[in-house]
Amino acid sequence: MTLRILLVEDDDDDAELLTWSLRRQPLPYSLERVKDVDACLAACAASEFDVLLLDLGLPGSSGFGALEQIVGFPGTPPIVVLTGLDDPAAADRAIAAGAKAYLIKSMDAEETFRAIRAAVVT
Amino acid sequence: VLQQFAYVASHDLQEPLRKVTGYVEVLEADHGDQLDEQAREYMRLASNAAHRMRQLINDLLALSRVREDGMRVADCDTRAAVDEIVDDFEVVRAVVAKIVANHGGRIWATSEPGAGTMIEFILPAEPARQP
Repeated sequence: MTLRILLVEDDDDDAELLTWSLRRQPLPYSLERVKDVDACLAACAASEFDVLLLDLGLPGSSGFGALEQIVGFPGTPPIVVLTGLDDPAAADRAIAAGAKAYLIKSMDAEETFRAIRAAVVT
Repeated sequence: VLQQFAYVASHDLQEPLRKVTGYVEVLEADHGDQLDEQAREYMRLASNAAHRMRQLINDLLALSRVREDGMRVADCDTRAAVDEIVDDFEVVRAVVAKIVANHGGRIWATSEPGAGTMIEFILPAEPARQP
């Protein structure tokens, strides 16, 4: 089954690197990318996704604000939060706010994909 | 305030560094076979330096958490920890020696097992003329 991923990431480099690393793992997926919360909600209304990857460092609203906004919107898929920083306190906060998992941005595609898939299945 | 600064600084430093590391990895994986031995060696050195910087940033982040979390006891490789401290100390020692030398002074250390090391230096009252 193809994993349908919606990536919410404002940073072009991070989006490029994530896209590159996902291409290198063997499992099937599709990826759509948006840059902010509004575009994310519009994309969720327009098509169906299995998982939403949310960068915690989006501009305009604090990352947690964005998370709460998206969680509160009906029909959004499970959310996996992406962050550049290994911060246990932020991870706890993200889970408490409704994220399924908290992922540190890394180049390890297989590990990233496994974590994303695990978040969707459980 | 120091903790807050360390947190923000480590966060901001991590962002671009992660990209450098990422693009070096992309270059190696996608274009490594088009590069000659020398170029691949430079990529390896860049990658090592980025890795070292990431450790420094993580240390800075750890520093930013000292007050909020308190200290935690954890298993660690003490030999590696000592090596790392010695490495850092060597850098500090080299910097201090350079500063003292630039001011026309002299620095030396006396060490006694079990008693520690005493580092002493003398500086001339009149600074040496810069060459």
